[in-house]
Amino acid sequence: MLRRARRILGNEADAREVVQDVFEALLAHGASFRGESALTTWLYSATTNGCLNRIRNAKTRARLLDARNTPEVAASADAELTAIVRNLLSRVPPSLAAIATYYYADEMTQEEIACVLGCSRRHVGDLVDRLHACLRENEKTP
Amino acid sequence: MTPPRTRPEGCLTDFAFDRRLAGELAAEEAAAATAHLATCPRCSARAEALLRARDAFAMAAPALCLPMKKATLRRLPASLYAGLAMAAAVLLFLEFRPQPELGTRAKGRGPRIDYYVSHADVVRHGVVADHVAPGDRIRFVVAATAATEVAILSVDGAKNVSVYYPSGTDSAAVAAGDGVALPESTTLDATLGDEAIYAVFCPKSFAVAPLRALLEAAPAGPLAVGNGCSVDVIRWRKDASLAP
Repeated sequence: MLRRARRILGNEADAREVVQDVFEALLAHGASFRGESALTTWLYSATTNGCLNRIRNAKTRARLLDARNTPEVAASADAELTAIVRNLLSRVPPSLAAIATYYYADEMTQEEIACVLGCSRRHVGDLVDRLHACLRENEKTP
Repeated sequence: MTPPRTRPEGCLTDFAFDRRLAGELAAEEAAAATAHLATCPRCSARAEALLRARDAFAMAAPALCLPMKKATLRRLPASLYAGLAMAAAVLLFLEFRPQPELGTRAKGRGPRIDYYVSHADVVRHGVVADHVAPGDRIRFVVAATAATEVAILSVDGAKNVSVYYPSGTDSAAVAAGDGVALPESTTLDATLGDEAIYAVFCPKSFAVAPLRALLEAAPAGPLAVGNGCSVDVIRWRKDASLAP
């Protein structure tokens, strides 16, 4: 979870706060994890959503997307991926942020993304198509 | 510019590695992953890197202590609460494994739990791969080499968590002995299916509510407890066809 949060946020302190938030939620409202998915799948989804929610916050968005990696992240093998995530998240709308992270930063298969998002593989395919279209459109914009 | 996807076809994703480490891959997936790792330098290097990172994190994380009596989670200082969450992450990550089959027990040298079943006015000893029925009465017995504190919780076939023993908010003391019967019996409800019973033993009194919350958060277990404490697990299947 911490590795995942570091990769998305590029900031050790924010990553640790997100991990803590996820476990606070798990301990306080455990019923939201209903055992319908494996624990790893649930944790991936909760951590990703926690990170993306943090980035959506206007006050932290600029700080996280514009800042340099903290030393812990810069020293990790994920530093390059963090740069990719930042670039993506600055170019796509919030509705495509999760699929962009799973598809490009995590390089998950469409079956895996469907598992984490709790939707069909066909829907994942549609989201990937929309993501590609968004990125192409973004490239045209001067 | 569209970012590149550099993972070669057939190589494992980090998600697959994490599911493999957590023991969540299906048998066929796990076998395929193991076979791939044996022949792929890229994936075997990634697997080693993830294991090193996991071990380093486990070494740096604080030990998880089961909240003792009168020390609820909300009263802990923020730093301890953060540590608890992080340690829980480690324990869940390291200890989440496929559950044993029905009727098997978790291994361990600590205190053990056993039980007797009263079914249709006939009392029998619990057995491996046991089948019980709604309305059966269960009497638990504890075997421990030293006096201990115990609480018994259940996750039934509908993933509902119950506290079987004690009826209060805190654990109850049990004397040392080979088969000390607990003072209360439990009448099984109508929920059918596989049920796991977790007996938690600690040297000091502890609150039951945090354990219940942990099981509600992860009904498939395992139930992680702090140093000095142990968990013994028994499983049975509740079957309506056996009802008297």
